[in-house]
Amino acid sequence: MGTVTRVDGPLVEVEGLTGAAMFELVALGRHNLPGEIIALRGDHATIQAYEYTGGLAPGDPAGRAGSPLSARLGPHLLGGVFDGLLRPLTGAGMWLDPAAPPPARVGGSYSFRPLVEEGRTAARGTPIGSVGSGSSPPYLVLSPGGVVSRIREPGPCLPGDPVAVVGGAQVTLERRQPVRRPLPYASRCDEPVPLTTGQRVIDLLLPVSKGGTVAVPGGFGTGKTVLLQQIAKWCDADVVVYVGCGERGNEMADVVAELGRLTDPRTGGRLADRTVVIANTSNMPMMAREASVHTGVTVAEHFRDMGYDAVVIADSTSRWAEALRELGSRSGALPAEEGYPADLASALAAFYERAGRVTTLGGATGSVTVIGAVSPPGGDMTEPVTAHTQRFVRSLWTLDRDLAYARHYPAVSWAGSFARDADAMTAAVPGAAQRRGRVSGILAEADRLTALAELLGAATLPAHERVVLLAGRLIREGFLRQSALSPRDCFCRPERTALLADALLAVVDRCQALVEDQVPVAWIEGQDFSPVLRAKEAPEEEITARRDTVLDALGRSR
Amino acid sequence: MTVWAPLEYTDVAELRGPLVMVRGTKGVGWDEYASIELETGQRRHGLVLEVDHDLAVVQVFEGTAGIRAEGTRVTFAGRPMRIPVGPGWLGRVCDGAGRPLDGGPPVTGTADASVNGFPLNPTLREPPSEPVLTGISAIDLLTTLVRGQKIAVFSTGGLPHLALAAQIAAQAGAGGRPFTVVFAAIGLTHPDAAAVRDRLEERSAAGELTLLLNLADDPVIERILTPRLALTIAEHLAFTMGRHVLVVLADMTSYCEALREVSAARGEIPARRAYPGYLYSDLASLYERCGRVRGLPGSVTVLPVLTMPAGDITHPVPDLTGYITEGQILLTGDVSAYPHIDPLSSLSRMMREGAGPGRTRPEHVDLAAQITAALSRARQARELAELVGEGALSAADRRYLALAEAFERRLLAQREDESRSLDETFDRAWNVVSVLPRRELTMLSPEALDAGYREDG
Amino acid sequence: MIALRDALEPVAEALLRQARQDADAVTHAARRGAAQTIEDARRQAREIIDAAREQGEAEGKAYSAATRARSARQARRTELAARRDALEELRRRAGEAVRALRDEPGYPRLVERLAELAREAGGDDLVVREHPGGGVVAEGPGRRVDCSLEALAGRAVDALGAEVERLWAP
Repeated sequence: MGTVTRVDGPLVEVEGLTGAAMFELVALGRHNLPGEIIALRGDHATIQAYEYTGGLAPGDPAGRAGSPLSARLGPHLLGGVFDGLLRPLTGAGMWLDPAAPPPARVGGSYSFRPLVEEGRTAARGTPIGSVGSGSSPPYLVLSPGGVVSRIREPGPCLPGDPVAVVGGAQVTLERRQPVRRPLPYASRCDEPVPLTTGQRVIDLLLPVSKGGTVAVPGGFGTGKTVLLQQIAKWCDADVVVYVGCGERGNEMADVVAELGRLTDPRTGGRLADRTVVIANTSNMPMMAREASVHTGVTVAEHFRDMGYDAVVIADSTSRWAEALRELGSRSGALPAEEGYPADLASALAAFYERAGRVTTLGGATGSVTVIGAVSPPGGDMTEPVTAHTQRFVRSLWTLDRDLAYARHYPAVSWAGSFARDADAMTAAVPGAAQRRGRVSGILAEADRLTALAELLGAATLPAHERVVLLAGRLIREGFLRQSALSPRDCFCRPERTALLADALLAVVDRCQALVEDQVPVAWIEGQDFSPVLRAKEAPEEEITARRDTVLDALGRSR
Repeated sequence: MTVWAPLEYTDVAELRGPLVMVRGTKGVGWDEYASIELETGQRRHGLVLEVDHDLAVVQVFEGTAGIRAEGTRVTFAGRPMRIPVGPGWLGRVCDGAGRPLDGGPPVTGTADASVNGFPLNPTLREPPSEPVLTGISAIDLLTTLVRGQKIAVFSTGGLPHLALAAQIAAQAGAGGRPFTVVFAAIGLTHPDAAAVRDRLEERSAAGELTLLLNLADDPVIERILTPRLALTIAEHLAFTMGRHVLVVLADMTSYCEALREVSAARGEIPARRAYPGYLYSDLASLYERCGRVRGLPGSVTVLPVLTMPAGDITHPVPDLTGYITEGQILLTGDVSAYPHIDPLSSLSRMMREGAGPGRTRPEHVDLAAQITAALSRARQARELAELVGEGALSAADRRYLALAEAFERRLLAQREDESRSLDETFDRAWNVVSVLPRRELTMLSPEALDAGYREDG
Repeated sequence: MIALRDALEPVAEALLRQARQDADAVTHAARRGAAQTIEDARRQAREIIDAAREQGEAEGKAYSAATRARSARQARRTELAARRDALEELRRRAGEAVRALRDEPGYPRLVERLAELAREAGGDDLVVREHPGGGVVAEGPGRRVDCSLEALAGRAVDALGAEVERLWAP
């Protein structure tokens, strides 16, 4: 038992903690506030506290927990809402008072089904049983490796109940894992497989692979949270871990309410049933924010080990980095750029490095995709968190204030973003590379000509360039813009995305051919393109007909 | 809880900026409330910013001017700062620390509460819904305030943002439900404060207002306290007494400057523009106290008002505020008529939850989107006109310019003492959109157009 | 903390009871007085408002919002001032009542208990001396405990909290 000697907000110093280890959990004061050791000198420990430390005084007791910060991983996670340390928020009081007693354990009874027979050998990481909890992906209990000497009969089972004895070790539905250490796997898979997000601008131009990493920088008002929520709702992952890290409480309430309302198009269940929400809103203790991103990835890895594709969405990693800075500042660490600690870059790298598509210990294939929002102060993309993050991610979706200002959502800048695995992913799909090349070519050319037209007036441009301007507008309005509020447009499956793009490209081709045939460009510009512009709101089978309507109208000039 | 024999510490080791370092303390906790008695008998108040062995660092709200190391006595309350809460605050005018300015006795309460509050469990938050109507057309129509929302007013020096804040505070209501305003004036000049007070007199007399006034010549550090008092009072009125409460915090830039001053005195490592690195979290701990709670009737809506230094929206105070609030109302000198709201840069993210059928008008959201889109097109046309001359504009573009002009004259422009009903605002809005030919109004449904469009517009 | 409160309990309770008893008497008296004062204030307020309106009408001007605001504020101020006076009066009389303890036969015993209390709060090494106005003050290196009757009287009224609103509650 140690004694508190100094309290400076979330930074607490304790002496007399003999034998303590780095990152060991410590209980501080009368209310056993959780904290983690971040520096040790002799028996003198520096601790970051995960709760408000008001009232904590020198002389108060501090006890070692004997283990590092760990998360309770179990079937209760899916559909639940937790704080940054993965303690359930459902059932906790109205006000989150650290001195209040913890809520009763959540997680009712589950229906257990054995997957192996007694006496068989189950290799480490292979499933030995599963619990179904309605529409969620089946929750698999994995073997620690060894001979299955006992296995539970099918039937109801509580989270803490033993379900098997394998290699002499008792197995329950749950396991506790330290959150800062990646869970082990057998090997990494190299060839990229696309994650469908249902957002056209991403799936066509800036795709992300399962197991990939994405950063989404965007100033306030650029629609960052709406975009991330759309992905959380509609991407084709098995499990989504949504980490609200230092963000708005009302938005968290909204996400939870909406996930509970929406149906998963793939399973027919509630979207909430495949989602784990970690809510550490901006007014909750700052240091738990630091833990929450690690907890989130650990939960995703846990489901990856069952052979699932998991996606972690962290909104926002900048608030996490601020927590790092805050603690660094209070503990007297020498600051680097803008007051951030010198190890900011390595901390960011370590976080994104936990993503990947792997062969699990049990031989299954699973993945963890990490999508991290970045909130650059003043929209400054050169600030440390944004700049460092760009180095470590495979895809970057930059949100553009001018696009958002023009109510062009999702405001993903096609010029200021990248997707390093795009070529490898499109190579596998016939026609995909060419489609992507043409669309991005038109956009780039139209951007260049727009700048020119603003200077000289569009009327001064030659006809074939004015058609490119028109093509750019058609692609932007008819394809890139996507309404998060429209039931039909909010999600676009890949086939539909291709269909829409091809319809627009066909129209563009026709316009270009007309100009070459000396048809006056003003006549082309004056045509009614609304059938293809609004095709995104139409049933899929109508898209081709809408394209033909426009082509016919254009054809009449011939 | 009365302590009958409080222990006073008399060993002041150091005085620096707003800080007093007290030696020889025992069992003093972080963030404890402290009371400092000077030789003269004058009493000041503070909070513990750090405890290190027997040394406690106390931040003094009233500042350290006149404090001597000898003869000063510091008492610690044994817990973080609490204030009385309850209906006793209604109709009162107090200073930034809650001491009466209206000649009355100190405010007493039916209960007391910690000024820091506790984070509201996000799973018990009810998403904001239902409007707060302000009687100001541009706001009610385009950036509807929603109960439980936080939305900021961004302004620059010289613009009448205080008059607007006071007008909102004076006129706002929740459709006849019990409504209260807590107005925290932070760092205001005497004339500004007097104007606010006059404007809100009626509401005050009706027992629907609490006014906290920290003036420009009041202690700077006290500004750190003022918004916390306001929010603590509001939370109780909302979630215990079931009222809809609007909290106006003006001017938050003064608050942030006070925070920076304390940070500098402590020698903390600064982040952007010498503001402390925890500015985001600190502001969030205030703004996030808005909301509604599942199963409870009241709501807290927070309206921070701030001036952007040198009109710079990327300055840390507006920037971080913008990241936290659910929208902003931007005032600009480019709009010549009061209330100077820039309709294109203003946005209420929660508007959809507060406007529309059963709340305001069925066509509200579409009408607002249509007007915004039209104004955006008009702005492009104006930019073009500046380049090539208005004569070169197409007939359609000229209609859009006419719409923008009608918008500013007939809808946006409003007197400071003028409260418009929703009916009147919508009447004006339909007049404005009817400047355009009906076929241009693609965002409005045919039914809405049949009911609202004026052919002679 | 607990031990300290236990030790304080008898004295604190006696003090509070005494203060409350006296305060009750004071309250009763004051309440009649206060009720009268506040009624007077309200009447005055009405007169102010009426006068303002008449003056406005007499000068042929609209009875402006500003005038209305000003007179409403003045009226409100008069009433609040009356409340404050009532509270001040209570505080003064409660102080008198506590000071009267000096003449009670149990006073030496009270001083002893207060000295004990002070030492328990601040440490055994404190030097205790009697305060000229009654009660004790204990001092030591870097520490001090004020248990003067004057201070205790103030704390007793503070401890009444929202009870003082009875002074002006209708």
